[in-house]
Amino acid sequence: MLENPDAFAALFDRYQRAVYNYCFRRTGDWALAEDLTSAVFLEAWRCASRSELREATARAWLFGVATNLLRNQRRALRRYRSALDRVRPETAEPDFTDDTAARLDAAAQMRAVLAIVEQLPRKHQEVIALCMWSGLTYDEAAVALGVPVGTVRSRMSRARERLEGLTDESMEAAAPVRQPVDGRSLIQ
Amino acid sequence: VTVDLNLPEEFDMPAARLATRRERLVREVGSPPRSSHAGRLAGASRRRTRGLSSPSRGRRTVALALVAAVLAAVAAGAATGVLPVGSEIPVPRVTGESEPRYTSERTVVASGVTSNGLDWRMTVAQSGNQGFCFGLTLLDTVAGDDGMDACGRSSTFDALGLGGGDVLPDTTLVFGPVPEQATAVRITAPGGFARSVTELAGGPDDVPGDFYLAEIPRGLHNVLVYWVTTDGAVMEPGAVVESTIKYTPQPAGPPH
Repeated sequence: MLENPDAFAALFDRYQRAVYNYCFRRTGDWALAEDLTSAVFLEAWRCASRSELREATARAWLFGVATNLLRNQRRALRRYRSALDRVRPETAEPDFTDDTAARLDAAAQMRAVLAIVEQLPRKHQEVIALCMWSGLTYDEAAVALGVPVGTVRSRMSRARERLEGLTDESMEAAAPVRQPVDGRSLIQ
Repeated sequence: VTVDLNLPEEFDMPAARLATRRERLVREVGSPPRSSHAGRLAGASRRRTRGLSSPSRGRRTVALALVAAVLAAVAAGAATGVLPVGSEIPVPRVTGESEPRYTSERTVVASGVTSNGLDWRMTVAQSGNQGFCFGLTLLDTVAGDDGMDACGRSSTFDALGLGGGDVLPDTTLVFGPVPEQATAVRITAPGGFARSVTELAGGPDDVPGDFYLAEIPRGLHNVLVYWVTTDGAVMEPGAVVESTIKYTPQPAGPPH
């Protein structure tokens, strides 16, 4: 599937937005999410040349790559430091215009969410981010995490239980964050 | 159960930045490798051979316990095939008295291809009784996955060797941990052989140091392996552990 740069470009065009937002929602940092997105696709290219990448599982596989990088993002960014230096736009300032305020709000809002979710074990954070925040099915999350689908289900079940308790405490204690433009209910 | 965390909306990457990154990424993957990403070695055509000599130990590896010459147990389940760096491989939870009691999964820190076309994978895991354990696996040889694993309580630099037999008849893979301050690992041998490894692979954030791998010709004697700091100081001579290579100590540079 990733036999040449054109195929790589097609994969990038199709999934970069999903990967970008996944990286943002795991970090609360737009600039970091840009670099991580680039690193995800560089790693995908490196691995895909030696493993079978199928269209049907490409999204799940990319989220798996992203999850792996996010687990060790400091090292991952260092590993790809040279390449990221080459692909990063020269301008330090993002060219946000009309949505600058919305992005700043989103970052603050996401950090507040992460402050709660990061109290969970990492494995629970990952299933929440994959299934609830990014819309992967349990089967896709199983591919992304390299675990049986039953493991995804059990992790999700435990994550919900623990998150319920955490949010009850945290939301009562925390000052209310700005209401999102398009806020989504985490668990229903 | 309803838990509302006010998840923010999704955004597109800013258009101009997206266009720049896309163009440069496509150029990046389309260009010849400038250097090995995470230790990737240029590969020739795949050639499958049989048999791999057991590794031997060098000076620095005295502190290590070679716990498993064959990683078949590690390579169980989902650990087959080429995995992205950062992937976690389940480790056996029930181990013998002298074996490591793992406290983490095994994380892929680097992968690549040998000069004769074999995929390799370097991994690290933490254990409660033997420190961190790192291993090198050659994937999908005729005999299946093959390789070695070593654990040590405090080793921050080492040079292990894997090669020989039918699997790697012409070369030895030299690999090991290296302190995070290192910018390169340098390998030398009498007769002018010298090789620098500048692509050092980072492991999990909670494992100190980095990891390196180099492929060198078999049959070299008196090989030395050093790590080099940012200002070029040469630190800690070590030994390649492949049995045909003899270790000769040399003075180290000043510590930093």
